[in-house]
Amino acid sequence: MLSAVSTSTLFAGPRNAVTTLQAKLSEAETEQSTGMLADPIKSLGSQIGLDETLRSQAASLANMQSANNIVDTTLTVSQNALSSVSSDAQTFLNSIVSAQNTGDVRTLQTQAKSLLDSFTSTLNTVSAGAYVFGGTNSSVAPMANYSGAPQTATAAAFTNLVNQQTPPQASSISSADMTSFLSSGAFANLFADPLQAGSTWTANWSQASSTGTSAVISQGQTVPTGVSANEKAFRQLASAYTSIAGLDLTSLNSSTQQTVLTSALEQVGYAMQGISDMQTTLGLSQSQLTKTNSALQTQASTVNNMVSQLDGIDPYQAATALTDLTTQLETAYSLTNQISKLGLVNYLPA
Amino acid sequence: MNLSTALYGAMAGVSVASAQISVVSRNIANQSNPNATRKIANVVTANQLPAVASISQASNGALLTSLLSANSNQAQQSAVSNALTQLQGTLGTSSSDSTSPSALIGQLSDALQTYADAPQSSASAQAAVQAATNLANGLNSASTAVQNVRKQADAGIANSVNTINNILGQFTQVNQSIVQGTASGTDITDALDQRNSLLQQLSKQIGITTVKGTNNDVKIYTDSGLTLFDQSPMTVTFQQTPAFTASTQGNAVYVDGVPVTASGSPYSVQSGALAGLISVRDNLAPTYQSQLDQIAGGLITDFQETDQSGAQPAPAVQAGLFTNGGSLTVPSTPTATPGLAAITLIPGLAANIKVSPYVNPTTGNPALLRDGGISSNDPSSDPTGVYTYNPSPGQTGYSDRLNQLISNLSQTLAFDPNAGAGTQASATDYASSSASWLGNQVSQASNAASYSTAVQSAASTALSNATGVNLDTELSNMLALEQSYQASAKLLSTVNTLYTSLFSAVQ
Repeated sequence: MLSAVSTSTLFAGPRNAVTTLQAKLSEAETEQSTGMLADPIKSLGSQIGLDETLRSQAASLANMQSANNIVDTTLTVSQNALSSVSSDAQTFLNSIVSAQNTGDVRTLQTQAKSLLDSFTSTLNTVSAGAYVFGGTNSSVAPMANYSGAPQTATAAAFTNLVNQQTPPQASSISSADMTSFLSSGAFANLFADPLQAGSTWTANWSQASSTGTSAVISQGQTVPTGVSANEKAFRQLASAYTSIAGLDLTSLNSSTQQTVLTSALEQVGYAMQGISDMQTTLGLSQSQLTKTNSALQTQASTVNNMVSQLDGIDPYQAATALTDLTTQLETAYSLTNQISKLGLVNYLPA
Repeated sequence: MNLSTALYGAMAGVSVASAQISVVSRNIANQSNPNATRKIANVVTANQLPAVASISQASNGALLTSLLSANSNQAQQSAVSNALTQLQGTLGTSSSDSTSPSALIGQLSDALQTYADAPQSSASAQAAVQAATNLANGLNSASTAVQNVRKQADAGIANSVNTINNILGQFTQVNQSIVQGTASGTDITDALDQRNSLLQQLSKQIGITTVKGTNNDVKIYTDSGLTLFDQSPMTVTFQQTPAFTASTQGNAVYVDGVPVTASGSPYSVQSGALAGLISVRDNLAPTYQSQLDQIAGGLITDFQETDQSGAQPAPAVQAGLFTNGGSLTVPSTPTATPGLAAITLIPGLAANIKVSPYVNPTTGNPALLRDGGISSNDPSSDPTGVYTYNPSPGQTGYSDRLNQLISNLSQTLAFDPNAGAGTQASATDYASSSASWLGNQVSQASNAASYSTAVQSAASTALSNATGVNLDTELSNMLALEQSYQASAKLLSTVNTLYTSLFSAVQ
């Protein structure tokens, strides 16, 4: 039973309602304009941790995708370089075959020199500030110019071979001597695996690290992203180019000359096979990257969806709430006005 | 029955009506005073004539008691809720500028990921170091915010204690005048109003119960049963602490030498602003600080560097990217489970965690983040230890250590259960469950605060309705009194006319 109402309660009623309604109205306005909870911590309570985890997960997924774009660029640059090396090798292969028939080694030598230069500069390709064929030693150009240390070393090896002959003339080099010089002698050592004893590959030719680079493209998924200039195929190709460009072919007797050409032909063939294998490896990385990126995309949209389910609001509901609150506030204002007019004092005779 | 009797009756009527009108006008004048109660003139009939014997007031002891307790609860909850709103600032409220530890850890992990995909890039290295610095700064400022909240609570307690002593001083005087007034029979209604208002103010600071004695004397006890006022006030004392760090213990509040806020004290106050502030200073804020300290410990552990020379049985470790104020000691110990490190609870670690100067671009080399051996330059580093991970240091394509660091952020660590945010979790997950803990506290406190405010407002309304003034009632009373006054005055004038006729007849 409500027996009496004190005047202060009567007047305070709508006044208190107005302050509460204004606070709510400001929240509703924020929610409608941002589409998110005005005070997520208060509203979500213990779920705020989940909200934060999902948010940083969404950021990580977006970050992973953009980081993968760097990896993708590196892969594309490597692939382009490999195709160019491979097509040069094919050209060289054809030239050797035709030289075998015509015996014109001078033209072949000129070509070999220019192809060798193009080969070293291709292996020194840079992507995003890193030498893509440098292995983990990505800040140093992996291949030295042929005209520097490699040429000197090749010439020295050849002079040494000539000096071992009796009489010490290039024309005295037998086919068998040449074969052993190319396959296991001083010349072979120039292009031998850096881990093998006697190898001078890293001293003359390459500053690359033999460890290839790899990247994590999603949680727990690592793909190779680059091949080292120390790979066998590259050494074989360098050896083939150098055997034509660096040995004094014209001074050799014709059978030894043929031996050199045959050996170069063989090496180029192996090298092309090796390069094709590398292209396959990197191609696999690329296709994996594409798949991963689309999976990341799906994951990101799921996570974003969950985030908006947590701290997003229904725009229709927000608009309705705003209208409701406005109506209530207007009612409170008009009530304040009416109550202030109500009072016995207004009806008493003056 | 004669004319004189009629005259006395009319005079009494006039005097009673004017006395009652004066009470009505007192009521109307006090209408805007929320603590004033409705005064009632008690009319008695003596010798067949009416007279105002005393003034009493509308009162309702039960409603007052419930308002006192509602006041205490409301003050307590709003003290807690206000402090938590400040702590909530450490989490950030929108997605774009989230400054919470968990968001900052996520940003560091992302920066490391970008760096791992381009390990030759010095820009990425600097970005990763920057993200680490942001994280360390974020923890430092969160820790500062927590200690500020504690300091403010401590100042609030000092304020509250001052207010309590003040109120008790005023209460002594008012109570004394009520006791004397009751004994001598004077009008004590205004003093009673004042005393009730003092009780209401007191109940906002500290939970109280009251007991009435003889002559309207009132004794006040704390809600834990300790005497606050019995004829004279007890002294409430408190020593404010000027500065707070994580290891600072605030002082207790004493009532007459008995601690009423120390944990475990049988006389701990249960409600009022004092209880709320104490729970913020000694419980909520320190718990959140422990969680921040644990997060900091987890980060130092995740980024620690292990001796790579393969020393047996257990290779040495030292702090890497993050250090405890430059110390190379890692705040964790191995547990029985292989690979599971228990994070030591070091008070104030979150305030001291900083990024090693050896990766700072101006004082060191950010690429050490990739190669390892961050602290090897430190004079206190073990000179024989080999903490560099990159097998050929300086080779820029090496990314294994960075990938290891990223996965370390998700490795499970054993956190101290006393910090209250779970035990076995990764540093990232622990940071997010700490955010959940705070969110839960904030939302609970906010609900409790709005609930107790509603209860307090209802209690206040009920008391005001029961004891307050209604202008319309007073005005209609006044109309009746006006009529009664007019009638008595008319009677006086009639008796006067009668006497005049009588006297002129006698002449």
